Formats: sequence, structure tokens, C-alpha cells
Amino acid sequence: MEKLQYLFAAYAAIWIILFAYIMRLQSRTKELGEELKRLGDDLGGTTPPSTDA
Amino acid sequence: MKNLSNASKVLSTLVFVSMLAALGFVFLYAPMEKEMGDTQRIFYFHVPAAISAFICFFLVFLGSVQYLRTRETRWDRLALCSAELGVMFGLIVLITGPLWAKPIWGVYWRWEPRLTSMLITFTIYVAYLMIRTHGTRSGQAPRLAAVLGIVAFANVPLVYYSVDLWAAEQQLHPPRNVGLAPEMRYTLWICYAAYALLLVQLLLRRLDLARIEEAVERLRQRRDELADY
Amino acid sequence: MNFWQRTLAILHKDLMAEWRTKERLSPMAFFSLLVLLVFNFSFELGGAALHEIGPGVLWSSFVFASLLGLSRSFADERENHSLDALLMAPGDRSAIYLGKMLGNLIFLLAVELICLPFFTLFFNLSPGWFLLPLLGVFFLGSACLSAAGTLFAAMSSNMRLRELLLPLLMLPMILPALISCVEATGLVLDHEWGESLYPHLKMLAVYAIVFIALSLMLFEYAVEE
Repeated sequence: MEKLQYLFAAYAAIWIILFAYIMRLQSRTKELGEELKRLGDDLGGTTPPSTDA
Repeated sequence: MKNLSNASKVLSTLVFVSMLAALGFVFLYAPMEKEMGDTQRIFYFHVPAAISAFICFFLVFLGSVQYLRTRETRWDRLALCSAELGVMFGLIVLITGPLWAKPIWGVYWRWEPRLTSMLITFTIYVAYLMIRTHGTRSGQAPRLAAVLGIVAFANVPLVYYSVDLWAAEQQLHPPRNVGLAPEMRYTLWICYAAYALLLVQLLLRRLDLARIEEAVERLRQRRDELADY
Repeated sequence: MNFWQRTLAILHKDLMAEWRTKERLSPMAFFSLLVLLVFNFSFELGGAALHEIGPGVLWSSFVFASLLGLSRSFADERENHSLDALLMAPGDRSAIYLGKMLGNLIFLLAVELICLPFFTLFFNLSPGWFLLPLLGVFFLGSACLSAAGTLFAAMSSNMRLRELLLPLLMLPMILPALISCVEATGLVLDHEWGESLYPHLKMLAVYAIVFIALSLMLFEYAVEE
């Protein structure tokens, strides 16, 4: 039934959007975590200042 | 730290389970709607997405107001992360809406009140995000964004009211309290719960990322200052 | 100096400066006319289509002209660094907002009044009693545009890429006002005033009041250094 294709497309769109966002979050978190470590080492092993609450 | 990590795992599991449950309810438990058939089932994910978007926009407002009052970074952080999530949920609404509309009303898009208002609201918050990323030098960014965050939310009821005036006759959405069969109502509530958990999960993750971004920025500045010696 | 005295002082200053140089009004008015021309050639205007599109074309040109004028609104202060002096003067800073907003409102109204004869000419409207309610719509609509626009102009004067960002800030936000302006103008030109017109006017009044109130509260934060 053609109508079901739209239903599928809609749910597929939701999934794609959600997963794309989650994966972007994860990869950026990982990337920045590595940069944070590198910066920390560059600055002579100083631990990063604790972020405020 | 251990407690936090455990809590986070529990939340992730909850989100996963609730989403799965929601899908089950939507496809296996909810009865077929008599007028629209199976395509109506998108309703169960379309409506909670809209509600989630508005919760996020309210959080932007809250974060903005609190930031101007306290000047604490955490409120500005909340505003930014909520805006991003709100735009994402808004995108879901604007994509599932037309995909629902096409088999039912024959066209992907009609300038009818709810869709149009959502589109305008979506545009306002996209502009908010764009201003935040491209517009400001770091020192003043949170303050200007906070003003914008407050004005944007105040504008939302005005958007809805004016679009309603403009196109009332084109209303294609059913009025709010249309009778839902009890099974449908339960399914909808399950979906609301699933989306609420998802929202919390995504917001917490995004806030974490924001904290890391701020820490990186701070260290970069410190390194640049030292390099200037 | 009390709040109203400050407001009027700033309004007076802006009007006097403009009177001497006419550096904002002329370009704004001319730009508005040019936009009317552009729309004329972009759409095949004539007959029934005119009726539908007329009000939209008119308000589009006013909105674009106001963007032009607003971006200059704080430019002088910025270039001469006199905004700092203004801010340092004791007293309520939101008077600056109100003074500027009234100035912008007056400029916008002037532009609209200049454009109106051309509009009636191009669109072959017969002048009549619709003029009075039309001016009412112009006033309310311009109040909305100025109320929101002045706040955004103040904000964008502090930002990078200010000319680029003011439209991005302003256009989505003024859509509710624009919708009602166009509807109201259409109704007035159709000689339908009364019940159908009133909700739109109410909408415009609410919008203007909300934005003025918000701006009076938030202006302080928008221009802080």
C-alpha cells in the first residue's frame, strides 16, 4: 500500500534525525575530549580548571 | 563520579526501553484510525515532538532570564543546548507533518495555522542559533543571546495568534480535544514519556559537550596568552 | 532629567540631525520606491492579482526600507563613540531606547507617507475615505516594526557582521506583525472596516505593546559594554 510508504518515511526521518544528532554529539565529545587532553599536556600537565556547576 | 556514570547508564537504558515500548504501542496496540488508516500512526511521534520542541524553547527562555539575573554560565549553557534541541525536535515536526499530510490531504504543504506557526517559530530559533555562532565576540555573546532568547519566546504566542487570524479557515489540524479512543490515549502518553526521557538524555549529553567546549576554549586562551610572552 | 525628558531629548537630537543631513530619510524613501518597482516587474501585476498582492508588496517595501533605516539608527553613535557617553549619563537607559524608537517610527511613517501616492498611482487606486483607517494601520504597523527593530538594531550594533545579522534577527521576529499589517491593509483597501479589521488592529497593538515593554526592560542588557 502506497500510504504505508509515507508512514515508513516519516518514522525513518525521525530515526535518521535523532541518530545523526546523537552521533554528532558523540563524535564532537570525543574529539574535544582529545583536544582537552592535548591542551592539558601542552600547558605542562596542568589539570583543566573545574567547570562551574 | 561512579554514581553519575551509573545514573547515566540507567537513563540510557530507560530511554532505549521506553522508545521500544512506544514503538510497540504505536504499531501493535493502538487501534487503526477509521478515517486515515495506518498513516495516522505518525501522530504518536509527531505530537510529542512538537511538545518537546516547545519545552525546549521554554528552557531557552528560562536559561536566558536566569542568565541575565545571575550571570552564571550554566544558565547560558542551558539556553544554548535547549535551543539546539528545540530546533532538532522542530525539524522532526516539520518533516513528519508533510509526510503525514501527503497521503491524507493530497499535498505536502498547506499554509495552515499550526504548520505555519511551527515553521515561523522554527525559523526564529534557527536565527537564534545562527546569531550565537556567527554573530558575537565571545565576551558579550551570552548576554545578547539571553536578550534574544527572551524576546523569541515572548514572540511565540504572538506568532500563533497572528497566523490563526490569517488562515483560520485553512485549519487542517483537528481541534485540541477531539475524542481519542482510550487505547490511543494510552499510546500517546507512553510516547510522551518516551520523548520526555529522550529529551532529558539528549539535554544532559549536550550540556556535557558544552562544558567540554568551554573548558577547551579556556585552555586555548590560556595557551595563546602564554605563547604571547 | 527625568525619563520623559531624556526620551524627548534623544528624539529631538535624532530628528534635528536628520533634518540637517537628510541622510537616512532620502535613501530610505527612494529604496522603498525601488522595491515597489522591483515587485512590479517581478510579478505580472494587473487587475485581480493587484488586489491580492498590493498590500503585501507595500509592506514588503516598508519592511526592507526599515531595515535600512534601523541599521543606521545606532551607527552614528557607534562611529562617534557617543553611545558610551549617553550610557554613562545618569538615569534610565531605556529612555535611549524609547527616544530612538520614536525617531525610527517617525522616519518610517515619513517614508510610508512618501510612498503612498506612488502606490496609489501604480496600483490605480482611487483615493477616498480609506485613507484615514489606512493611516491608522500604517501607524500601528510602523510602531511594531520600530519597537522590535530598534531593540535588534541596538543588539546588532554590538555584533560582528552587523549589517548582515540585523535582517536575520529582525525578519523572523516581525512576521506576526507583518501578517496582520498586510491583512489589515487589504481589508481597508477593500473598504471592509469594522468587525473583520478589529482583530488585526488588536494584534498589532498587542505586538507593539509587548515589544515596547520587553525592550524597555531588556535594552539595558542589550547595550551593556
